[in-house]
Amino acid sequence: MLSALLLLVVQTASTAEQPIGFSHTAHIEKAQMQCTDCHEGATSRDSAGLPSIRKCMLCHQFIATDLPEVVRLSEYWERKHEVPWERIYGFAKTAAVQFRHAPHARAEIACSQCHGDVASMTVAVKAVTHTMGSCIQCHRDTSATDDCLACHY
Amino acid sequence: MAEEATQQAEGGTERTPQWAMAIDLDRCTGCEACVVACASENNVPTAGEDQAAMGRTKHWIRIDRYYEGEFPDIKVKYRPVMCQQCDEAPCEPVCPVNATYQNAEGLNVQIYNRCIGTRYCANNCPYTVRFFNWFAPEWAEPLNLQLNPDVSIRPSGVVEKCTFCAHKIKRAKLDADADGRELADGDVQPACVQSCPAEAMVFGDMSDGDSKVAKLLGSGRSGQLLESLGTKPRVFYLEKAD
Repeated sequence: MLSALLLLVVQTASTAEQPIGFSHTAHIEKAQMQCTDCHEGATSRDSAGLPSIRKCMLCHQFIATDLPEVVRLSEYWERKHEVPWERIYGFAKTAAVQFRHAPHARAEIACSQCHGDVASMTVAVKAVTHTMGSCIQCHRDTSATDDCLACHY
Repeated sequence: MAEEATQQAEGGTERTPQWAMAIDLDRCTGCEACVVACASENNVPTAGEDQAAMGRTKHWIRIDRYYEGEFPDIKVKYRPVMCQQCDEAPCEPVCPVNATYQNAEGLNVQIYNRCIGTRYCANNCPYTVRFFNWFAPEWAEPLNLQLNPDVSIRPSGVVEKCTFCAHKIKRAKLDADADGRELADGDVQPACVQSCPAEAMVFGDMSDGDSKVAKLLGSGRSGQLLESLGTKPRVFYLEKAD
């Protein structure tokens, strides 16, 4: 009961942070989309990236246009604004650490390993804490480099 | 045959490059394009006019000037000096927290997160190429908009220095990996090398006998700065043999 309440609080808090209550599970589980359909850079670039509203509207001009969150999306679209999504992962500039998505995708590290089971989340919450310990543990387990310079430059 | 044996001994495709630089002093005109390129590439802040007048500039690469002869029959020689990436680096053993070390590719690495700012390394460097950040870096507008996202902004309280453009080495490796090919000679060009209009600087893998830098090192013109100290730098200076 208490944990359910806590979960609710956490979920509500995260939902409030995002401009639109985007449901990952509806897109991944129901619509059978892939993470990389929207986070296009995840396999090829440094940054996975967040999709432009143009990508959302490719479908949502026609699909589920009456849902309240989609109505809010179209309001941004009509005003010609991007949705100001809040990033939940990433390192502060002052952290002096560099991360590149592409080589991790090439090594076939699943998205869920660092981002949790996003497929079952509505609004994405930070399920995994990224520390140097968690990075280096994985690097050692997979015989990847553990040279400090691999990430700190 | 010999090539095959070398490849086998070095583990085929898993060969670890040994980075080195050759600088042809007979080509260097002292134009300082490398100095500007380096500062721009590596987010090295400018000191400002007043501080610069007091000699408080920070440059990962500088041009040393040597004068030969008596005025007016004077000859000036220029020598670009950056971190010499020594194999026997005097800066490394004095660091109490192992923030600076030599990695497998021969780079003298500085880890800012680890550095606690004792400044022993900078004091022990015979080439005076290490700089301590007394203040957090600042950029006058619009220079703040041109910061390189591939290079960390170093906070106050740490020592920084030339990295041989480690981020560009990393980028070249990732690009090669994405294309499914091996790193080729010339793929990695540090900012100074890239910007040199006289092509006085050459960077590459000195363990690869076919690389441009390895050939220059074997040309008989190469020497090192303060060679007698036994620091075994990875930067080699080419000069006309007297």
